[in-house]
Amino acid sequence: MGYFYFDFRDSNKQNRRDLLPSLVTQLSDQSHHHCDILNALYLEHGSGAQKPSEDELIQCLKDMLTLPDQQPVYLVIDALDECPGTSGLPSPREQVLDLVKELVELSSPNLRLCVTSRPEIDIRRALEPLTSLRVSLHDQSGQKQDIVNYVTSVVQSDAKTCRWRDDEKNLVIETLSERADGM
Amino acid sequence: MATAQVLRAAHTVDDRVRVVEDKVLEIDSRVVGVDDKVVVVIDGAQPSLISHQGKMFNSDVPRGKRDKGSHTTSGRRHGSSEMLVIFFLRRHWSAGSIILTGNQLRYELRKWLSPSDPSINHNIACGAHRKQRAEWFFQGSIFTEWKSNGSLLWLHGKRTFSYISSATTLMATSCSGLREERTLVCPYQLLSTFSYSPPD
Repeated sequence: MGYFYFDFRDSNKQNRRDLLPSLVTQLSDQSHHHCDILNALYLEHGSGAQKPSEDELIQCLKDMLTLPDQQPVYLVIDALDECPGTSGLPSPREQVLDLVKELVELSSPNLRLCVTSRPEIDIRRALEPLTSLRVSLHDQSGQKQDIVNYVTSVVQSDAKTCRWRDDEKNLVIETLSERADGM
Repeated sequence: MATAQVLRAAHTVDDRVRVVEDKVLEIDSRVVGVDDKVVVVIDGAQPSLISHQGKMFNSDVPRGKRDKGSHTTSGRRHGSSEMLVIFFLRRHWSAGSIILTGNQLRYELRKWLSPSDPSINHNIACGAHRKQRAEWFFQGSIFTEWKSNGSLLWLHGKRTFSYISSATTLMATSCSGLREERTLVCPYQLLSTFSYSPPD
C-alpha cells in the first residue's frame, strides 16, 4: 500500500522525482521483501553516499511490484492534474503518465493502481487506452453516472428501443439522464 | 559466537556484511550494536532476541552491563543512552544465516531518499471523506472489479474529490490487510507493528 498526493501548493509534491521515493519507501516499510530490494539499491550507491537516478527508482519500484507470490500492492496517486503539464520537455506530468503506463504494462497480478485527476485532455489521452475501469465523479453524488448507466442498459436491452437508431438512443439517454436531477 | 561470524552469515550480498561490520561494535559476547542502537543478542548456536515482539528492551539491558562489555575494536564507544531496539529477523536461520533488517535499515533508507510526507494531504482528505462517504462508489461494480483483479482504476471529475482517494486509500488498506499506521511511519510506530518472522 502506497499513496501519493500531488499538490500544486507544495513544490515537493509535483514531480515523478517526488513520487518515486515516497512509494518505494512506503512499500519497503511494509514488507521485508520490498525492503531487501530497496536495500540492494542503497548498497549499490555506497550505502547512501549517492542518490539513485529516477530510472533506478523506477526499476526498483517495478521489481517490488513483480515479486512473485506477494499480496496485492495498492498504489493510490491523487490529483495527477496538480502535477504541472506545461513546463519542460517532457513535462513532469508526461513523465508521471509514462510511469503509469509502464507500471500498467508490467501486467503484474499484484498491482492495484488508482489514479485520480480532473479529466484534462492529455491525461485522458494517456489513461483511456490503459484501462476500462473509469469512474466519473463529475457530479457531486455519483448518482448521475449511475443513472446514465441504468438508462443506457435499459435502452440497449429493451426489445423495442434496441432497434432505434444510435443517435435516437443517445438523445434519449442524454435527456433522461440530464433531467433526472439525481432522482 | 563472534560478531564477525554472525554477520558473515547475513544472507545475500557480501556488501551488506561489510557495511554492517564497519559500523559494528561488540558490546559483549552476546549483544551486538550497530552505531548507538542495540540490535540483537547472539548467544551460542542460535540468535536469541532479548526483546519480545515489538517490545522495547533498553531497560532490560542495564547500562553497566553494556559498558562493561565494551571491549571495542578501533576504540569506538557505545555512545547513546537513548537506545532504540531494533530487530534481527531470524528467518533462514536453518540455513545458518541471519538477516540484518528492521527499523534501523528502514530509517536509513528513508533518510537516504527523504520522501515527502503524504500524511498532511491525507489527513485533510480524510476529513472530507468523513462528510462524504461515497458509498455508491465502493459498492459499485467498477471498484469491486478493480479490487479483485484490475490493474488501473482512473477516477476523474471536475470537483475536488480527494476525499475519494483518501477513501480509496483506506479501502485499499483494509483490502491489503495492513493497518494504515504502517504507512505513516515513525520508527517507534514501526517497532510495534513489525513482527518477528520465524524461520521458513
